[in-house]
Amino acid sequence: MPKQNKSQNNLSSNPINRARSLADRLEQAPLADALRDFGCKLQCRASGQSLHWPSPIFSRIALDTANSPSWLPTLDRLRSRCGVSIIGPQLRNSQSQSDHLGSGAGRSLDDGLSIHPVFVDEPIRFDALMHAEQIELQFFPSRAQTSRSSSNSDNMALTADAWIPTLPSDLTDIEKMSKRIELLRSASDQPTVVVGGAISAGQVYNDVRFLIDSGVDYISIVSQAAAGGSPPKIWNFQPVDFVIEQALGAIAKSGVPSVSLHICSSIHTAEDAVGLLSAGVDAFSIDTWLIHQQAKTPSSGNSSEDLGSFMGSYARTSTPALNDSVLVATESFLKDFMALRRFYEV
Amino acid sequence: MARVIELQISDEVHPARLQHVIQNALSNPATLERLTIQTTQEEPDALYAILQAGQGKDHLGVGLKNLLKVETMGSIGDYGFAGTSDCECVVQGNVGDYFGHSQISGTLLVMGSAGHGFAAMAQGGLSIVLGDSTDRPGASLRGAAVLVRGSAGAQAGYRMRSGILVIGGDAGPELGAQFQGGRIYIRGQAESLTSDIEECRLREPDRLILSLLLMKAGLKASAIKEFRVYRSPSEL
Repeated sequence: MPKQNKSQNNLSSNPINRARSLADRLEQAPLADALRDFGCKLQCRASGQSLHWPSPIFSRIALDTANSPSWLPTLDRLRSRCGVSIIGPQLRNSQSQSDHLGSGAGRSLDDGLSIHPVFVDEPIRFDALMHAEQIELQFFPSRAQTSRSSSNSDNMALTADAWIPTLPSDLTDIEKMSKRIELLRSASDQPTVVVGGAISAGQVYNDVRFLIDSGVDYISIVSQAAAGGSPPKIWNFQPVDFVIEQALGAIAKSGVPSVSLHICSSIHTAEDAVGLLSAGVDAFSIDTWLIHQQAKTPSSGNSSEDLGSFMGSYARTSTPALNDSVLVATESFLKDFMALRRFYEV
Repeated sequence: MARVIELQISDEVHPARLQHVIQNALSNPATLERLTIQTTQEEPDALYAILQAGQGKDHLGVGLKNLLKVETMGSIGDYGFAGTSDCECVVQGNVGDYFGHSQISGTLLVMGSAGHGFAAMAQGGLSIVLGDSTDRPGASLRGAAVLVRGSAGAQAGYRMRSGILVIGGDAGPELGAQFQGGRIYIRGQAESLTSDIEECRLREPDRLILSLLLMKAGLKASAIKEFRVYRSPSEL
């Protein structure tokens, strides 16, 4: 089942059921799969160069959850062992050593990327972008904005309006937005730095066109608040099928086919993931799946309560632990996912 | 021993990567065409960079940090010295849009005039323009102090959250649109005010703040009494 052309999007039938017959596959050269690239490529529109992801999977849990520090070790391991790209400030500590060399120099080709988020209505931290390989503009309010009364960033909690779209308050038109993107691009010393925009799924067609006109290299659409709770009553995410159709249509009509589409939606099985790729999505988020796995883990609760002693009532600071069961489950998920990709040739 | 670097920005070097250039120059001085070292007892590790080129360029000096003084000879383009920290930057000319955007600390001084969104989203430090500023100076300010010695354009202090905006001349329409917090001091007249700000009495702390800012900007503080203060109605 070849990946669907972005200009010929058709979601009426289940794309997973359109695999080539086994007889056809016998014609295929031996080890053809071994030569295939199962990663994801993003193209920098400014330089024309490509940035390679080892796998088309990303996570924005560290950005969206209030308890993101507890996820840090697990996410770091997911990035290095499973090639999952991570959006968020979560890797500041582990990257401090490689900052001297640049994140590109300190990263193996099999490692997922660390994607630097930039909230459009917040001040830009240029020092964090100096060696960034990938930057993602977040077109909705940040946790910092929704809980600015709190001085401790670790205690920030998402509020419902975190998913309502926002624009930079200091910009007035698309031309200025494109200049802002050019600024972010130039702040990094990496030649293949790609800049994307993350929007919440509302007026998808118009928003995607706006972003493409602004000069982004890829578009990430959040169609489900996977980790950050429910959106407010005045805001409704569009269904993922509709979102993909609208976004691909907008990309096709924009005349810039190199723009990639990333989706953050509900993933429960490897089939769901393959279905997204075959529908024309370039990368997807596994946040809902990760959270589901963590919920299944017996020790996923607060460890200080497990002691059951009088000390449990004292507030203590504990080092976030690596969640092995989530890691093992993710590796198993990836194995299934890769097998399905080979089978369906997505 | 204060080190003075005269940087010639060639076309190959992107102006936004000045910090990289300076870091490389410090680690490998032989790469610099001209590296002058002057000795002073007071500031042994200070670095004074003079940019002899870069006129009219966008993104000049983005993210600079820990420099004693950076001086550009001529006007510069958009997003000049955005996100700087612990730097004193002087522009001997005009600046484009969003000069000093997201500034963290230090002092920025523009001898000429500034474009749209002067010092927008600045979190700390002081930004001064001795000439005029077009629309939205101090937009979405997050705690910095901004001083426009001349007149400001429309929507000065747009969506300010905290910080101080001082306007030495007149202001355009919709002063303080969607204002959320901080202070606006204005000496001249505003074309129109929004309901998001209300005038209040100039008190002693305000006079102190003003005199300090004017002094830092090298201006006479004799006209402090002529300033008026605006705050958010919710703060009154």
